[in-house]
Amino acid sequence: MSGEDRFVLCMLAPAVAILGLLVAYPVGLLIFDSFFKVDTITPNIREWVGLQNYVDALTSKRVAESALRTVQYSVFALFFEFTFGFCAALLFSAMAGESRWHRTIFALPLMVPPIVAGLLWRFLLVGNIGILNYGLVRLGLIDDPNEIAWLSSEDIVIYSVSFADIWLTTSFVALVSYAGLTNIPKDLLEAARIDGANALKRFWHVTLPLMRPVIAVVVIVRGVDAAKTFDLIWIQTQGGPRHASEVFSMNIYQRMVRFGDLGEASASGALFLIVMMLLAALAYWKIWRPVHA
Amino acid sequence: MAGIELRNINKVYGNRFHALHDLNFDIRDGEFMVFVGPSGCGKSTALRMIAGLESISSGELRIGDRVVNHIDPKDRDIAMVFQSYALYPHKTVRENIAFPLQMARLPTTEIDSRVNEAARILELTALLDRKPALLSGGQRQRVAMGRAIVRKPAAFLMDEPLSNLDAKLRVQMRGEIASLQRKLNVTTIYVTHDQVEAMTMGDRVAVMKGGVLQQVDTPQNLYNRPENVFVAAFIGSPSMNLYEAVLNGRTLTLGSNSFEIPDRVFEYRPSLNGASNRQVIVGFRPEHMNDAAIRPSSAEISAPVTLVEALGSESLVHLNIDAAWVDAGDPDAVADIGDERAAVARFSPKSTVRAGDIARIAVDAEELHFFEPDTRTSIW
Amino acid sequence: MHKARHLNVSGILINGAALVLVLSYALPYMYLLMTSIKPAADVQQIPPSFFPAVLSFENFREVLRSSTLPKAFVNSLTVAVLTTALSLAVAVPAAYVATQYRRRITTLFLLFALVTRMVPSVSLGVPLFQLLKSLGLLDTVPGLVLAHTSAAVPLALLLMSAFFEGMPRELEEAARMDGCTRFQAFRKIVLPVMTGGIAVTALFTFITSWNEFLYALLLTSEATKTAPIVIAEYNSVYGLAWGAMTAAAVLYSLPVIVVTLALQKQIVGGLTFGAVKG
Repeated sequence: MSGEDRFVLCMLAPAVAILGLLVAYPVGLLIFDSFFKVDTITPNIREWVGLQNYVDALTSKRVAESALRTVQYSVFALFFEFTFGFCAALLFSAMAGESRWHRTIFALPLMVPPIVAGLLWRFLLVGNIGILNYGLVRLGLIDDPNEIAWLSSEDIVIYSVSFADIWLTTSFVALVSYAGLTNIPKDLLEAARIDGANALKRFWHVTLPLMRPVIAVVVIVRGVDAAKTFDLIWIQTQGGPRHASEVFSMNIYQRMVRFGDLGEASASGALFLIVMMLLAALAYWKIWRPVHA
Repeated sequence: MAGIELRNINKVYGNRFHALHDLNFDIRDGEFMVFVGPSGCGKSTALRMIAGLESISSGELRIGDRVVNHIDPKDRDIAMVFQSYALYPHKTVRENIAFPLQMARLPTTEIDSRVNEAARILELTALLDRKPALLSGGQRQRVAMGRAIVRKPAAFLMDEPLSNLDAKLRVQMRGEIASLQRKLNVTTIYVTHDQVEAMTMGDRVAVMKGGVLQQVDTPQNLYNRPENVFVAAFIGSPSMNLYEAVLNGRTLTLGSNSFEIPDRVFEYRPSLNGASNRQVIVGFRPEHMNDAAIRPSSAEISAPVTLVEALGSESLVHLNIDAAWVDAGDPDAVADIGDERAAVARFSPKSTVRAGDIARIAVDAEELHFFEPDTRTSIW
Repeated sequence: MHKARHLNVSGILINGAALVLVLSYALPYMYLLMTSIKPAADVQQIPPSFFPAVLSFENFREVLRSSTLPKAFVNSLTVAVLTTALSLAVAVPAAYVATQYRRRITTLFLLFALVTRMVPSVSLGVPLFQLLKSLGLLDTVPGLVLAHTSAAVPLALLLMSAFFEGMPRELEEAARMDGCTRFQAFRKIVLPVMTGGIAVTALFTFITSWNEFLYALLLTSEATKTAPIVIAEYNSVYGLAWGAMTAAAVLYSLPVIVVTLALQKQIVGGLTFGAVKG
């Protein structure tokens, strides 16, 4: 081994050890446990059950519902975050150099801890004292402040809890998109202008294709994060009312902590992991790669 | 101070790319040696192997009397100036120059006096307490030089140290580096892709192409006696014109033109004697062609003019010669203007030829170069 | 003339839209601040008012005098500082060789770090619980630090890689020509040059740990509860103690906001670095 190789190994080894101990080994343990009946209280006593945990997870109505809710939540949150964030970025870049203060203030939610965002939005939406409904009455959009029960109606709660997520991360989308927009060479847009493209065409044929890698990164990063969400929803509803806002990660937590079924929680955790990897890989190949290829 | 010897040096990368083939030559103690060649020719790789920044795949490298193949850069007693200067941005000029001495654990008083001495030589004294970010390109270049000379190493290695400067400063620094080297008399290897730098600075120049050494010689000899077609075309600007031709006795036939070769050429190149229908590559430099209307000659050809570039002191006349053009194999050679296959002649500004004319060109036939068409080496 | 006026009108429209957007995103947090300085009784008044009628620090007094929150802040701070130190100590050297000494193993390693970012924390939380339990580290500071480090190291690796990407290789080579070993070159030249990037990365890892909720919920019970856990508990323990909750939330979030606003430029750079360079 050359001195160079030795140096590389020495520098790499601590990080490899940490990630091995704290990520690779736990993931291995997760998959191992998923084939056993294990109790959270006594994790050392295992009883082999083969694929039974997976069968149970895949046939459970509550698991299926929580998975569906995760999709609803993620798609809803991602759609609005992306729309608002991208529009904000376009606005800021249209303002050229004058948007510095706007961007600073707009970045504020980015620094708010998720738990605080969750609490805050619960406070804004909660029945009786939630100020949002009073605002809507003032704007004439609804008649009675108790007309919409954001967090206690089973039909809409899964969307209501995503407001906090949207508020919290729109600025991430906006700042990343803004940086991407400012990286687009000015002369490309000017050339398109000279070629007779109007603003809409310039956006469609120049800006959007060039923003594709940025958009891909935002969608992957935010999509994965939204699907993983736990704390934001937990603090607002703890999954209620009657599991109506219980997303997949929360379902796993409940089965591990409340029902003490470590094996089944592991099987669900492993499934979750696999689905996230597949989604990220798919997004990577479909959206990002074509530009680089 | 020491000489440097390269014996059958090879570089093969992990992906089996063979970057250097059997490099063999000596750099004498105190000599200014320039490595020159187009990009990707292996000149920087060779320099970095001498520095110890790249491993040597096979062969033997000696600095002084030591084989240094497996010795760390820090223990080779050499200093290097990088293309980007690689100044430490968080250190002042003084700290930058002092750093190699601190690493060598010299006493503080010694470090101070050496740094001040180097700063005096390079006229950096007033800038010693500035950070590199506040310096101009030329000043940064001098700090990089200072960091090298302060150590009094056995050899200097310089990797395109002037390529980040503007043209005017480059000419000035070219002179400064050359005279500094003569003054310090330290063995120096200087890498450049610019043949003008190579010719003006080097005691000797090593021309490389595709990882293979083409010729090591003094600048004058490279110009006058190039060993092969590549060196012939690479040295000199505009490049030597190279065409396939046929030699019959003393008569050279170049496309539809023929002229007589003078006796002197046969004295230089005895193996051309008694040629009959011999295929050759003939080379003639632009400066050895002139307007026959101004200075008539016994060897004349005629060719249509495609373009005239009037530069004031001279006119570059592009000619369409009807013989097979020879590609010298320089990957960096870019078509100047128009057809890259055009011959270029350097006419006196008094010439009145214009694009579209059929010009009569006087060729200085004593200055012709001849190469074997298959091996592309010089015929002596 | 006509053109100039047209530009002006669209300029006003754009500025107006941007202002509305920015204000509507700032308002919720403003409301949190306003609520925290209302007297406790006014917090739940119907209908609610945006601004406090009377200024009162009653809520802050209450949470600061409580037995749990000050201790939770100490726990959060300890865990976050230790997590940051540990994560940087392993991630900075690794990110350095991964970007400057590219080879198959380092590429694989970075890819692994990237993949790790996709792992749902709940999937990792289940086996981490077992691991810490078997090591006897449940509900201890070192245990929580390890758990937070599992999330912070991949982040620090990716950020530092982006910073090292922008550093010329020649700096290390020059240092080695000047007499350093590779380790000396790293310590004496590379690290001092990269202090800016390291500071930004440190801030990000600190915030990751400071904000973390799920691991803290799973892996602590009494001794090492962190601030977010205690704040979340205001729900159940005190009924709906909105006043205290908003005050605690402000105390918990404001310092981070102030620090990040102060370092805004570097932070945004760090955030968008990897993303935009693709």
